[in-house]
Amino acid sequence: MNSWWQRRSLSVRLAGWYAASGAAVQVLSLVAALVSGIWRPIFGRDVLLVLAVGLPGTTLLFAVAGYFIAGRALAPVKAMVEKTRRLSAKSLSERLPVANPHDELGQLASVFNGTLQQLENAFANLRRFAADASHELRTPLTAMRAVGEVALRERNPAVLQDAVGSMLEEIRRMNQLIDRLLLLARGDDGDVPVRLEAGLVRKALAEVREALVVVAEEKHQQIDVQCDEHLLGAFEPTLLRLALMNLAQNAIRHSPSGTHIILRGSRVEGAAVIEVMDEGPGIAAEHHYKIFERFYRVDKARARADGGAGLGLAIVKWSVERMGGTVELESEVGRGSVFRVRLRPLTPL
Amino acid sequence: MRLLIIEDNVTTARAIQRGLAGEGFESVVARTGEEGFFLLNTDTFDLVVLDWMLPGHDGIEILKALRARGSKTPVLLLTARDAVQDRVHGLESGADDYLVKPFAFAELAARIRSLLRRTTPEPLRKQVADLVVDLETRHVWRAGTLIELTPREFDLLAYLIRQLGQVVTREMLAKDVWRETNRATPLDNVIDVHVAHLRRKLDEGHATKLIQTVRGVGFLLREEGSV
Repeated sequence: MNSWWQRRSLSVRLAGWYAASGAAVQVLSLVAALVSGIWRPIFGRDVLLVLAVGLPGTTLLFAVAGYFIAGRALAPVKAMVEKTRRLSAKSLSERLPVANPHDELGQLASVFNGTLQQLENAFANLRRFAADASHELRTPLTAMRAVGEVALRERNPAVLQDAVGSMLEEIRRMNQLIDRLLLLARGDDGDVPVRLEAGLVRKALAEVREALVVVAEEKHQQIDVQCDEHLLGAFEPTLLRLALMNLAQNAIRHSPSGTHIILRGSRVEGAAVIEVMDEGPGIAAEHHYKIFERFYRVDKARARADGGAGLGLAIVKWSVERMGGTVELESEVGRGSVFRVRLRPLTPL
Repeated sequence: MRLLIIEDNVTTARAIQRGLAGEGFESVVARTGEEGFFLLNTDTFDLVVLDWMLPGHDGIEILKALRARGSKTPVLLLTARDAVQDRVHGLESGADDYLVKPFAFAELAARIRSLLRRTTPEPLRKQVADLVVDLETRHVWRAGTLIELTPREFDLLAYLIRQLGQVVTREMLAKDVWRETNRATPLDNVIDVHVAHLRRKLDEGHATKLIQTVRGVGFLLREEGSV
């Protein structure tokens, strides 16, 4: 019985409750009349007739009226149901009508519309990501195909060997791209917990400097570490290294020869802050907002020639955020750039 | 040396088999886990190259069955899964080494050789042409002259000379010399610069060039012209 009742639509149930309460009121007033004795002059003994005919009749009337009233009140819900039924991944730009933003149904519709907006954004991002990723993968594929087709007509073994070498280079490039894409994709799940430890920031900075100093020297650049020896930060060493290696290599790549690159660690309000500063050309303000997005390039032609796919800073952001930190850019054209990584405060760990 | 390759992809299996033949290893290919397990029970092999993803019983099941039987044959696990948990799971199941697809053949060959010689002690002083490397004192001589190397350059040279005549990839160097655990950490240009420095220090002014680049694959140490 209970489950049968629960399967009815909301308007039927409301009408049912309405009729039941109507009937209860009538029974109560009849009982009250009986007890007080005021019924006698009017109905005589016909009280049974009243009970037998009047009560079911008015109850039915209540039920019908209740059904219509409930139906009217719930009409916006019906409209929402119809609209939602037609929604799919392709029509996420549609919105539910908000009849009255002040009542409960209006609020429900607004909240749902907000969720739709987020979904729409997420889908748009995903589509753009897939399009960008295929484009990036297609570039080395195109090169490989061209090289392979030309090589097929070639008889000179030295040229053939060169062609195979060039194809292997493209394969390597694709492989690295896929490694980085996988890293970002896996990060989206957020299923691998990160274990933060209190570590010496200076040590982490010195390791990055040690790895990259030879590369900087090739460009006659100097890398300096400025950090208190005892500064502690909350980080996971592999993730921090991944972020800093990307930032420092960017600094080397984009700065002219003879300049300084500074890796600076400091403490701001109980949290360690790491800055990677260069004396490069700087980045115009219009790029700041998008620069951490996947596949975003400031200078499209040049970055590609360097072999970058525009994933470096997306990986930096990803790894810093995995550690509960933030990364920001402060830069002006002609005045160099500062990438600032704010780690989480050390306590509570 | 006789190897068993359990790999369901025909192209991959054949390429590995042919490549290993070039390295002087005889090998047998099994296309399913069942076939591989049957061969392991009826024949003897010095090493097994085992694919994780196989139709029917997968690589891990074969590996567990093999170890449960008490076999100590070295097993190199091939897989496209490279999450840390997968790695741990693979090694805990009894694999001796683990290689993520797609891999460079040079790395597969190097890992197979290293698994096969695990028991033999290596000499502490190595020589190729007029280059002498003392792995214990970390001294290097070319044509009798002592060469100054940075610690990293020495580690790089030591790695190259252990793989004498074999190509090593940048991935191998990043993992084994730079001890970088994250494959997404960019190290290519760092490695290239070190190789260039090492080349300058070892080969400049000498007629015989020892450090060579194989385009698209990596580097190797050998006497020019020799194989």
